[in-house]
Amino acid sequence: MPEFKKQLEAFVKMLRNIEDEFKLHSLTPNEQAIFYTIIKSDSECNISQIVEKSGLSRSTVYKILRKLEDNNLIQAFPSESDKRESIVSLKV
Amino acid sequence: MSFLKDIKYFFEVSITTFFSFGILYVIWIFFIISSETAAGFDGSIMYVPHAARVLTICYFGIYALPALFAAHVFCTVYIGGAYGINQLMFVDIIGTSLISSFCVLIALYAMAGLGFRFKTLPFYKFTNDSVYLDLRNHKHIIMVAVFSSAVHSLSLYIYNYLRAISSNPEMFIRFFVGDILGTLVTIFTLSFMLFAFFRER
Repeated sequence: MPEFKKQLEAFVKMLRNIEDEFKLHSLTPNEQAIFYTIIKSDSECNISQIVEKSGLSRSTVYKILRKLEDNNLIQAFPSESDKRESIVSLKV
Repeated sequence: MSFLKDIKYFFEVSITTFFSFGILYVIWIFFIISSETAAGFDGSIMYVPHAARVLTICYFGIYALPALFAAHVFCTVYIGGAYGINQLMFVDIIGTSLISSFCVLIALYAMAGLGFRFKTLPFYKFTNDSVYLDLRNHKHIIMVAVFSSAVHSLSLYIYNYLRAISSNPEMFIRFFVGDILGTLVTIFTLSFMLFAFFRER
């Protein structure tokens, strides 16, 4: 008779393998904080919101967003209402 | 003592299976099906409860079958009935539920017959070069999802044709694509949630 808990552990391991596939765990704590901020903002938000919610400086946020964009995790595009502002959304 | 352990395991598996299918069915009916029924119901293009079939049969094996069948019948009759998408006779609900419950197991045997040789299947004679169905590898699970979707859509299409319920080929395509998409969306959403809520590794 197989063990129920072991089967659930295997299931969680399978889900974590998907994280590994997307290399989500290789992010630093600050990068993760920004990534979660985007996830929690219905997958789309502007940079001012990220700065406010993450508590990081604007320059740090810009630097991290560029890295996340290079890693194909997010995409940034100009806001329709305010061209000076960029909107960030998840790509995965 | 061993008998009690077996019973405990069976109950754990049954409860997990019943509720996981039920929750996904409710999510599907409230959030997905409402956007699809405008032009008539020919099968959902994103049937998320298929993930419950794939995951429970892959992880719990044949122990999950009774609860999966019960969940199918319960959800179709009570939830689907209340929402107005179930117009089948009770005998057809039983028939389609049996097909839907067994489709993953049949797909696993079909894959074993094609040479995938998963050692975790019961009642199958394996050779030394057999490989394990790696439950920790999402690619294996996704492969089972694709095969089981093919088995499910084909067998359900044949059943619907023979019982004169429907002979619309579009339904076959929608079932096939819907099962695959639904499983992928569920697995990836769960993985994303796991990462988002339990980030300590």
